[in-house]
Amino acid sequence: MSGPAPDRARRARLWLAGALVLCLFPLMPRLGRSLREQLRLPATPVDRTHGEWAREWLFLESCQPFLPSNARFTVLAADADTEMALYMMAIGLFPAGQPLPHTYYGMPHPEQAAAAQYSLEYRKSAPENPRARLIARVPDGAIYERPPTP
Amino acid sequence: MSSLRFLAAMLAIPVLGAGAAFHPSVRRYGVLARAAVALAMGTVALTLTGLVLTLAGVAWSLPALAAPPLVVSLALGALWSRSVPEPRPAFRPSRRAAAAAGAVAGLSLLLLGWTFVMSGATSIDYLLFWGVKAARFAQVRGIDVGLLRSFYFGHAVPDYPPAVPIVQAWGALAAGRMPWRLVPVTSALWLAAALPLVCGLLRRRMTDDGAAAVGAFWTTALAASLAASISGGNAEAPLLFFESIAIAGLLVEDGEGEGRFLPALMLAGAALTKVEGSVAALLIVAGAAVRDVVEGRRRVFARSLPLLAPPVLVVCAWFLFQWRMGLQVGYRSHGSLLAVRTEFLATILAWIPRELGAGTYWLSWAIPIAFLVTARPVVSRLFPALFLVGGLFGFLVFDYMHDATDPRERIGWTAPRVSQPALSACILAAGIASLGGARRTHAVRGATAKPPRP
Repeated sequence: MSGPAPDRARRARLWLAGALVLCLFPLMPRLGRSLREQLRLPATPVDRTHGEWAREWLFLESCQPFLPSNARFTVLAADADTEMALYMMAIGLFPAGQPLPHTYYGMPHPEQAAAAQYSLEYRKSAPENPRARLIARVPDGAIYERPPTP
Repeated sequence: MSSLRFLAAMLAIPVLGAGAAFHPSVRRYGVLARAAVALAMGTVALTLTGLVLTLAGVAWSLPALAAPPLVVSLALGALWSRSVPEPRPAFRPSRRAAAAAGAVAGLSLLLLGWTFVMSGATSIDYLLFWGVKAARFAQVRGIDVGLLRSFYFGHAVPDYPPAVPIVQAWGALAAGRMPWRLVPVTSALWLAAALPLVCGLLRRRMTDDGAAAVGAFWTTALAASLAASISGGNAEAPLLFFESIAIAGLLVEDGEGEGRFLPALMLAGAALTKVEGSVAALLIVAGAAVRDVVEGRRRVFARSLPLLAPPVLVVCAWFLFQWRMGLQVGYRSHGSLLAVRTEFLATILAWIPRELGAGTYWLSWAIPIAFLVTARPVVSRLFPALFLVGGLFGFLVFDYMHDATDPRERIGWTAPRVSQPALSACILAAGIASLGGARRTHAVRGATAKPPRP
C-alpha cells in the first residue's frame, strides 16, 4: 500500500470528489433545457444526434407498411450522399427485403437500380420514372411501383 | 413487448456462461462480479456458436444458439465448483464511502441510460452496420454470408469481428424483430456490469473505500465519455468491458502462482468485439510480460502463452470462418502497411489531444494523470495498463498517417471513441498507483517482487 492509512483515506476522498465533479458535466446541459423537451420520447434512434439522418430514417420507416417484406427496391434522393445514407439504413430496416443501390459512394449503378420493383423517392418533386405507379405518399417522399423492364 | 424480450435475452447471456462464475479464481468475488465473468463467457461462447452453426448449415434459433454454451458451461461449472475457492471477505466499504460512491456511479449510469433512451448518443455506425448486420443475421438465422460478400455491402466493414452483431441478433431473435431504439440503451449495461468486478479486483490492492472511490470515478468518466463520443449501439461499450477487466485483473495479480483465466477470457472477448480489441490484447499481454521480466518473475513466456492463446484462437476461428465461407480473409488495412505519409503528422499530433475531452473538458484524463504523477509509482507494475495507453495512441497516429487527405475529420469521428480503453487503463493504473501501488524505493526489486496484501 502506498503511504500511511490517513493519507490513503484522504486520496480516496479525492477520487470520490473527482468523480462527483465529473458527474456534473453530463448533468449541466440538462439544467438549461426544459423538462418537457427532455422528456419528449424520440421517434428514431438518432433524433438528438443526427437530425438529417433521423428524417431519412423516419421516411424509410413510413415506407415499410406499403412494401412487401421481401421487396426488391431502390432508394432515390436529390443527391448521392443522401441516397447512400438511405441505402445503408434500408439494408437493416428492411431485413427481409433486397435494397438495390442507385448510386454507391457517389458512383451511379443504374444496372442495380434497374432490377428494383419499387422505388422509394425521398424529397423528389416528381417520380424518376414517369410510368411508375404511385403506391403511397409518406412524409418526405413517395413510394412507386416500377413498370416491368422489357 | 418485443423490447422486453430483447432485454430478457441480453440478461440471459450470463446464464449461457454461468460456468465461468465457478472458476476457482473467480469464486472469491461477489455475485454481481461473478455475473460479469459469466457475461463475458456467455458472449464469447454465443459468438463462437453462431459461427459454428452457420458453418454447419444449421439455422439459428434460441435453443440452437443456447444449447452448446449451456452444455459447455454446465460441464465446466461442475468441474470447477469441486475446487475450494480462496476465501475472501465480502466487499464492505464504509457506509459513507459506499453511499457517496454508489450515488455518484448510480447517477452517472442513470444519466447515461437516460441519454441512450432519449436517442442522445446513438452511434451512426449502429444504423449503418452494427445493427444492420444484427437485423440481417436474425432474419436469415445465421451469418448472412451473401450480404458480407456483396460489393454493395463494402461500407459495412464485413471483415469486422462478429461478437456485437451476433449478440444483438440473439436479442432480435428473441424479440422477433430488431428493436432499434432499445438496443443502444443496452450499451449502458456493459458499463454497469463491469463495475462490481472492477471494484472486486481493485480491492485486492487497496482498501474497500479506495476501490469504491476509484470504481465510482472510473464509471463516471466512462459514462460521460460514452455519451460524448456517441457510442450507443456500437461496439465501444463491450470493448471497454472486456479490456478494462483484463487490465484490472493483470494489474492486481499476485505473482507467478496466480492463474490468468479471467484476463485471458476478457482478451478473447475483446478480440471478438473489434479489430482494435486484437491490438489491445497484444499490447496488454506485452505489458504484462515486460512487467514480469522487469520484476524478476519466472516462467514469463510460459505464463504469457495462456494469456495470448485465447484471443489468438478466437481471431483464428473468425478468419477460418471467412476462408471457409469464401469471404476475404483477415482485416482490411487503411492502405499499404508502410505507406505512411508524414505531411499530416503535425496535424495528427495536434488534433488527437483536442478530441480527448471525454465529455468533461479533459478532466477525466487530467485527474488520473495528476494522481499517477504525484503517487510516484513503480512504473513497471503498471505496464499492462500503460502499454495499452501508449500503444493505442501510437497505433492511432500510425493509422491516421495512412490518410491521403487531411485526417482532421476522421480524427474527430474516431479518436473520442477509440481512445476510451486508454482512458480506462489510465484511470485503473492511477487508482492502483495512488491507493495501492508500492511507492518507488531504492530497492525496487525487493519492494515489488511480492506485493503486500491489503
